Amino acid sequence: MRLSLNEHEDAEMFLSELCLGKDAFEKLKIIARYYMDEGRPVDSVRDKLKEYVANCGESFTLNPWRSMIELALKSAKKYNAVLINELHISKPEMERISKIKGIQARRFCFVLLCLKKYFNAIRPENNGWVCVDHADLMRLANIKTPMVKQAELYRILLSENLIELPDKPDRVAIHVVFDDMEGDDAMCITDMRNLGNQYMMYLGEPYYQCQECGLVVRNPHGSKGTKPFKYCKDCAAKIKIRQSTESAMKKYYKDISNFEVKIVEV
Amino acid sequence: MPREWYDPYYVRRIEDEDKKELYERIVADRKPYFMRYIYPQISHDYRSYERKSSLNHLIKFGEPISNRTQDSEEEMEFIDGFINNSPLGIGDCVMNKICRIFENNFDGKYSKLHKPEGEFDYRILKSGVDYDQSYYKDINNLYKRYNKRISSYNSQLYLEREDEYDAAIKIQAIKDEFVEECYKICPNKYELCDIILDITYKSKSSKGFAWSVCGDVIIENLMNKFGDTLHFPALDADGDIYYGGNTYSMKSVNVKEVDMVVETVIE
Repeated sequence: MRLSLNEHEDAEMFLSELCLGKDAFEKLKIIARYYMDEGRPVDSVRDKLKEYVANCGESFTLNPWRSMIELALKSAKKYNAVLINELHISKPEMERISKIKGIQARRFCFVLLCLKKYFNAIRPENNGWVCVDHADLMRLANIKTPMVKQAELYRILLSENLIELPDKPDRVAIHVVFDDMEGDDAMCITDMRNLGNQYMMYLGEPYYQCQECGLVVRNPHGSKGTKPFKYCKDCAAKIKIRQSTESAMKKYYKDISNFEVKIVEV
Repeated sequence: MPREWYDPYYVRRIEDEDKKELYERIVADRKPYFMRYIYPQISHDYRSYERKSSLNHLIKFGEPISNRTQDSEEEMEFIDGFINNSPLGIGDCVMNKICRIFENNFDGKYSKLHKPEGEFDYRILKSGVDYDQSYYKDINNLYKRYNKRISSYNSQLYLEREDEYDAAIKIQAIKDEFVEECYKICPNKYELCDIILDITYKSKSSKGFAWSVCGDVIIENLMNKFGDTLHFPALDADGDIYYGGNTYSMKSVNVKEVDMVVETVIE
């Protein structure tokens, strides 16, 4: 699941990157909304999406892209693009979270609070419901524990009366009854990825923000690391390739210029 | 099909009380559990439903749904809800019972019981020639594209329940297309065989690609290595291999000798 605070910016990024990747449907949905907001008719948006998929190197003959495009269009017709830009978490809210027992439960509660604010901002009639798949919730909170311990996190928040669960056996939605508290801003969320890590960074733990993509990741050397990290793993790999290409091209042009000088001298 | 046979909401609107009572009892609003093995989409829905319900049971009662005790009234209500809201009828009918017996005996257990001892040494299939590393990279990229294409097609099949015969033809068409591309990259069949074996047998993914592209070369390599002799189990009352109620013993045949005999008979 991809949560975006400014879908127009994301759409422009996807259109320039030309890579569908794993969350292809989410990307198509965001791009469809972007084109719809530009005031294009549905048929034109459909053509644009087909063009985008074809440019990404995907074939139309034997895959389900067509149905995916139709679903993305259906969703784009129903909802407007998300343009919130930032979410504010107040100091009293952070203090309330800090009273919860266990760091993972705090992190989980922080994520639920952010999601509640996010969904309420998108749809004011939402009334505090968070409808996100359990696996996605854990991924957003950067929690990797066995299922039994994950269930324990829910039980802690239930006992503190911060959430309510519907009675339906296969429910996915969580009603976050954590009231919004007014006060000075403690955190301003501008990126909905790795929310759990963002909370840990706020607490002063050894986490850093990638200077390329803005993702908050854990410092692999912990607090003992001498040199602070600049980039996340993916960006570091991309930058390394870019730097080595630049260096090789620089050397190539230098050799060519020397060669030309020698010819002139001869 | 009359609507009252499968639509419970329609049945509730029937005015004749006797008829309504009868149809409420016999309405078939969902498929029975064993049909999950016929309809892939329903099976997917059921798995998802079971996973979500199991997590909720774990949250509420501290135990997964498979270890349910039904001690408290609340838990009994939860289990009733689980059974009533299930996308499949999970009652104890004869077919569901048979299905569960099969699941208990075969689901994941068969492969565990019959795990091969030690790893298979695929070098026996190779031609043993040196090849250019640039070919390896190109073929590897092609192999990744092939896997992506096949998995995309399989996911489509999974949802649409296409006819098996049509699906096999389409998969064969994809394979033929990739075989052609492979030979465009590396025209030497022995080099191509070794490259593909190195790619497929070093990864955990399916080895079908290797057999589709260079199955004939692999057979040729094996024949050369074993002096054109084939070993196979044949029916034998005194055999030492027991399988499917019969006994077998290993026999050997030299293919060249057989070919010569066939040629003389033809002449």
